[in-house]
Amino acid sequence: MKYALPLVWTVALVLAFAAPVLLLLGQIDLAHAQEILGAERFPRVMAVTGLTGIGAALVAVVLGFLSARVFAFSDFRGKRLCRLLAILPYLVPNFVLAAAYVTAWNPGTGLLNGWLPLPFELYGVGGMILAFAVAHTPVALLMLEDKLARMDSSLREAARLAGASPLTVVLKIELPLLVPTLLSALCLCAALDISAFAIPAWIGAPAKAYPLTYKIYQAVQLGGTDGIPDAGVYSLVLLVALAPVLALMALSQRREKRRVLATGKAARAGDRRPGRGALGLFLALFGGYSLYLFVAPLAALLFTTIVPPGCAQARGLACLGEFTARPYRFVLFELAETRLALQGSLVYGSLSTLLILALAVATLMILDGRPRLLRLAETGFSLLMATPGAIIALGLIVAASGRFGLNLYNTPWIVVAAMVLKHQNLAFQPLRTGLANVGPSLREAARLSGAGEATVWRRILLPILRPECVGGFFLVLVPVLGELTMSVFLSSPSYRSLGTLLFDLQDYADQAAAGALAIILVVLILLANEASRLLTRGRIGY
Amino acid sequence: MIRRLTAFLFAVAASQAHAAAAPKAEVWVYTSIYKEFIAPIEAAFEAKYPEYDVQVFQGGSEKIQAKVEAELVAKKPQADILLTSDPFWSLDLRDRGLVATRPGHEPVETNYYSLMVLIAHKDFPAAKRPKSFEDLGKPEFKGLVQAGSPLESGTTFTTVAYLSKKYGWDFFAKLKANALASSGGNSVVIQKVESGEKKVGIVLLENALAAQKRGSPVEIIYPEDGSIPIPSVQAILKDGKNNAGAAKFADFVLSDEGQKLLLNGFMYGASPTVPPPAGAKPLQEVTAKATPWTTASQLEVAKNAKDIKKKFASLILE
Repeated sequence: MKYALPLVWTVALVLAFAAPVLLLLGQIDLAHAQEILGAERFPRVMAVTGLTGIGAALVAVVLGFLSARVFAFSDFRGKRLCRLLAILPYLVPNFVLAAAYVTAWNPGTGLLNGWLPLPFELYGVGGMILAFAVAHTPVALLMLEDKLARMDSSLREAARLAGASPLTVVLKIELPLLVPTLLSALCLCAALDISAFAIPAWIGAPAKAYPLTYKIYQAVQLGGTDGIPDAGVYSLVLLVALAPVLALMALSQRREKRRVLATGKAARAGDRRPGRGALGLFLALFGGYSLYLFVAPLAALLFTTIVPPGCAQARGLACLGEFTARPYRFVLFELAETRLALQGSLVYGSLSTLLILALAVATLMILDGRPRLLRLAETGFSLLMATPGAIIALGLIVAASGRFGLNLYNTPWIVVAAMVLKHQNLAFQPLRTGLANVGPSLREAARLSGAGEATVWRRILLPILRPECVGGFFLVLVPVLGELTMSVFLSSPSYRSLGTLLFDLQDYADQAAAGALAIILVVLILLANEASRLLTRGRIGY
Repeated sequence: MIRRLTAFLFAVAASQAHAAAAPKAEVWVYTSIYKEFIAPIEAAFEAKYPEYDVQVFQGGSEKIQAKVEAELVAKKPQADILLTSDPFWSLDLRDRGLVATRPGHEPVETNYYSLMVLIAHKDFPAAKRPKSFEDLGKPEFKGLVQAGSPLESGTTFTTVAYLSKKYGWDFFAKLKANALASSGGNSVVIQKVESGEKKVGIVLLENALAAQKRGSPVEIIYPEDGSIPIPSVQAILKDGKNNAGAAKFADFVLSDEGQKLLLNGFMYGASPTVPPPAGAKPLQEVTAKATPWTTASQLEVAKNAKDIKKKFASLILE
């Protein structure tokens, strides 16, 4: 039993997670593949994918590290608000951010072009890197902050006492210790960028800068039966392109073992009040960044939803005299679908998130002490996260619509399945890293005191991993709520989501209403965050 | 805490599943008719035929096509009846033997007409505006024009098919030289023009009228070379689970009551006796110069649909 369970679990995981994608990749034919790979424009697609993915991930990790240091090591008034502001870009769905950027900085009539312009053209690779970086910096921040806070403070203190400058401490102590987490964060951000859809569609496509995901979308749109194999080829390319990223991630995991950070010794965060000058500088830089790249564009979007259409662009602030709540009235009271979408997103979104967390914890528990199986599971999860939603969705339609005895099609459960497949890695990755950081001495001590395996998990490991679980909940819930591509294929009369409703409004029906729904969504996310903080006395939430 | 939350969520999900399992016969409708216009039709139909429970999936025509084709690949058709603005795909389905036939009816029936027209931002001087679709190829419109994407919107696809037949692909080469912007559906066009990012748009009349109604600064231009009539069609899927209910729904859409409800959405009725929507000119007048669709010309487009999309993608989207 002790040996069988991990194996059975791994086989079941591989079957459940790989089957849908493999069934779909099975539809690729070689002639198609050659035609696509040989196309003159193909290198450009690869260049756009690589540049935006890796460029934005680098920026996100650097910014994430800088802000993580401040939040992990210092305490100051207004810290919670600052931190919330820093994390907010991740809580706002990507397509809302993209729409806000287009409203703010489109080359023709961007509302902010006049007094807060971008130094470069929004549409194109530069704009995509910017939007990705802003959207995913919080991911890096969340991963690094926790690690920094748990770093044994005696290491840094010793270095300072020995005469090292603060910069030397960063370079010689913190960064080397953080290398695995930095690499993990870099890979996670790159994977999120490379498999994203909304930002390429809104900011890349107008300048004809298409990354692979957009080509997959185009292929699916281009032609019914032939489109899917074409999309399969692009997906395969995407997976191959991600191989080095994933290999790096696996490598960093292995190195992680040698860098034990949580030793059971108290490592208190926020033990230092920063000097006035340093704090002022940080707040000025951070405030400027947030206002410029996040608050201002969202405010521009908000502004267009409360004045008559086109007025904001033609007459600017003078429109405020013609205030209208029409888009809000329409979305909240006239559109019957809003209620269904809200219900669908909240109920099934939270269920998917809990399932994802449960599965991640179960996998870690069962495969604990089996590094090879663990690595296999991990590689699978990361591959799936990088697999475009369209492919997972189409694969699931093939796999789970009754042909193989399992029929989930046109039920909300197929969406739950898709979410679990796609986002498993988001919960698994931080938990796995967190577990690797737990020193063996803690477990040994517990075992010596007579604790069984289950007790070790219940009393020692899970409590240590609680921040990862809590952080993981939000880390997963947000993309689940904002999910678009898979929901488009899998939504049915019995399941609608806020994401698809917003996309439909934006693409086909009523832009102002879409903006209003986006603003409502942002307010809801903020309220949910506050409510969960109140209910759990600050343990869950930001 | 988490355990209680999970239990609660499962309970809600279960109660929803229960509510969905009502004893009525379900009719699954996949349609590209906008949510706010299909909802009253659904309600009126259910009021008239209480034995049916209509399930509506709404999305752009090309999205519906992608979903249905995926269902067909999976051999698991769910839709009973399709109402989309892509007649060519419906005809293609018919030729693949997937559409039900019933006496006294064409397998693929036109249920209303939309009209593709031009719009301009109200601040864009009248003298500078294009007068026809053909004008859009002139150099003075470089960088000013927004269209939907034929990969995402059925009506835009029909427009591309129509214009490529009427003016040839050279016309699109000119549009490429003019940096024609093409993305999303008709709503994107309205948004880009009302915000002033683009000055001129190729868009459905019904979207333009609806936009004007909510105060959007766009003005309609009926092109001199004829507004493009876009037939929307309905087809009953042969392998659907409820052919009888689907037929009832099809008849209801074509009935006076159904046609009147469509009129609220600014569409032209299928029958010439139905008056034009409020604020629009009569169909015959504005399409006088347009080349009418024939079954043969529609079939030809249906056969070449993929090539047309590919050609457009390689010219305008790459």
